[in-house]
Amino acid sequence: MHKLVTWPSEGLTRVPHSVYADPAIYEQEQIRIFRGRSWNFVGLLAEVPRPGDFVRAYVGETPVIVARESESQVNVLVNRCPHKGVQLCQEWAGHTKTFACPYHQWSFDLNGSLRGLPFRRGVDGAGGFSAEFDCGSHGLDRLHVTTHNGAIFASFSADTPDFARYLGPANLMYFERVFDGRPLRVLGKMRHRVATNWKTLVENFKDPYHATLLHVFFATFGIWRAGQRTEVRIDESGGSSTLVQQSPVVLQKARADEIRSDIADQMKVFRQDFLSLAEPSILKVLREFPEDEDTVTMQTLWPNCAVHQNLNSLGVRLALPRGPHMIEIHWTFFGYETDTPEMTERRLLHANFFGPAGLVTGDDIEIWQLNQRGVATTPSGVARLEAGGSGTEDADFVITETAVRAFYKHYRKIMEL
Amino acid sequence: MTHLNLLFEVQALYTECAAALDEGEFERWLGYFASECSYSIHTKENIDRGWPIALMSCTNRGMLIDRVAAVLKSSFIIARVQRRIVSGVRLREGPEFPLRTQASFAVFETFTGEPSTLFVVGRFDDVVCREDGVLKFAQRRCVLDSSIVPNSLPYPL
Repeated sequence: MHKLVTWPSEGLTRVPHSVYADPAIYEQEQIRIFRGRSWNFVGLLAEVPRPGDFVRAYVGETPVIVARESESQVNVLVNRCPHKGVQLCQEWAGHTKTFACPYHQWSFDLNGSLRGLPFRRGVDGAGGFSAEFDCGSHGLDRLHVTTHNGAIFASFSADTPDFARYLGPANLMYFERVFDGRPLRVLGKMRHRVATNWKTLVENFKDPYHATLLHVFFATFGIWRAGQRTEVRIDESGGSSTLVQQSPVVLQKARADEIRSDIADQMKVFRQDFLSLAEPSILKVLREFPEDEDTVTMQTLWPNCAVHQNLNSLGVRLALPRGPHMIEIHWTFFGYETDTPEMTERRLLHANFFGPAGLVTGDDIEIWQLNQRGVATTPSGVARLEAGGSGTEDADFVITETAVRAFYKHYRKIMEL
Repeated sequence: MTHLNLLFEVQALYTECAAALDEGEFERWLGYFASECSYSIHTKENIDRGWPIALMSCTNRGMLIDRVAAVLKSSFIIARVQRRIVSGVRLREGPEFPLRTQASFAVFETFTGEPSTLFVVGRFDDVVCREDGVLKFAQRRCVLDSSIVPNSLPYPL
């Protein structure tokens, strides 16, 4: 096959801008990545607790329905009637026994089988469908499903490795720190549409280098980040990784005497005149995850999913592609059924740092848009990823782009670029 | 007639509050909130599902002050002009205080070199009290009609 892009000879330290903007590459991503051997987060079991419950979700740009058929069975069905292609289900969530197409009333049960076909034998013996028409072969397209401690993932491919192998041991361990098997309680959704490419987000989640420089909130309020202990753990393929960092709250305790002027001098945003919060209690964190109470994690799961555990906020976010230049970000915030009211209050307050109005993520959203404006107008350009060397190994320092390079190592393999 | 005067006074509070934000006068905007107050932005989707998460949630005045400080001093925000159209102000409970008041809003955004676009549409669902003789918001809940926000929501509504 003709190569869609010639990757620069420097290899892992370069990313050609065309991967963010070329419609042909975008189309291949849908086929090879999102409809290929990937596990795509589609929701939490807590969103569909009873048989008959359903929610709407997406695998890449494909709309799907996540339906609880029974206690033990969750199905993920393509939200498209096989007759004419009409989208069956419009509401975000509900409870039903069947999904009926509004056009000709074909109806499907919770595992996608075609159960109702009005005028199957026509009217007065004329018309209708032949005796050979086999309802069994005209059901909704159904994806492969795996669940892991309350999180539901779907794949178009039967050959996607089992979930534990897909994440690799280090990433599985951090995934299970949050998804430890306790029943989850959904706290809500945030959704926004951002004019950027989906990979720009994934890169951002994998990049500890930018946090100190861009996220001024912490520096402004005297919370030191540049020197914070950081670990980057990357799975063997390179696709998934976890960023483990000291909690901002721990850093706050240590702030004044730990600030090194040689670091501060390099940060334009650095202020000697720290502002103080009028309501410092927003940074109060209740202890959980006692085995490692002082760290926060940001985990990215191949291809486009991230799980955060920061302060007391827990959430999953998806960067859903909507063409090369647009994404929808869907966030699901949650806690545990066993949370105390105080813990729930913390989780809700700490959501202020995340989402479209996030005190931290707000900065990122603006950058993602500006990033797309740059790459889309210069398709011949390349991005340079040289922070922290040129490899894709784990790291124990903050100024590194190793996980971003690893992501593109995997990306190139899957995309054959 | 008293009722009409009160409604007029509430309307003026809504108008001034919107104008302060449109003009980027965040400190002035803070002045329209009572000493004990809360401010939050929700989506209709979350409210309908009974989910408590808010896009922005300030449960007291201190948090509101910090949010304004973050907007002014610590956030990277692409420059824009915002225009708030507030309409249909009504008293749901009153004239005894605290009042429960509602209004519809539409916010338009204009970025440098771009035509104006509609940003968000929704409803204010508020509690208004009188403090030192002046009407102030004791609670302001903004409920967005759409579950999806375009790009970012850096400023209060």
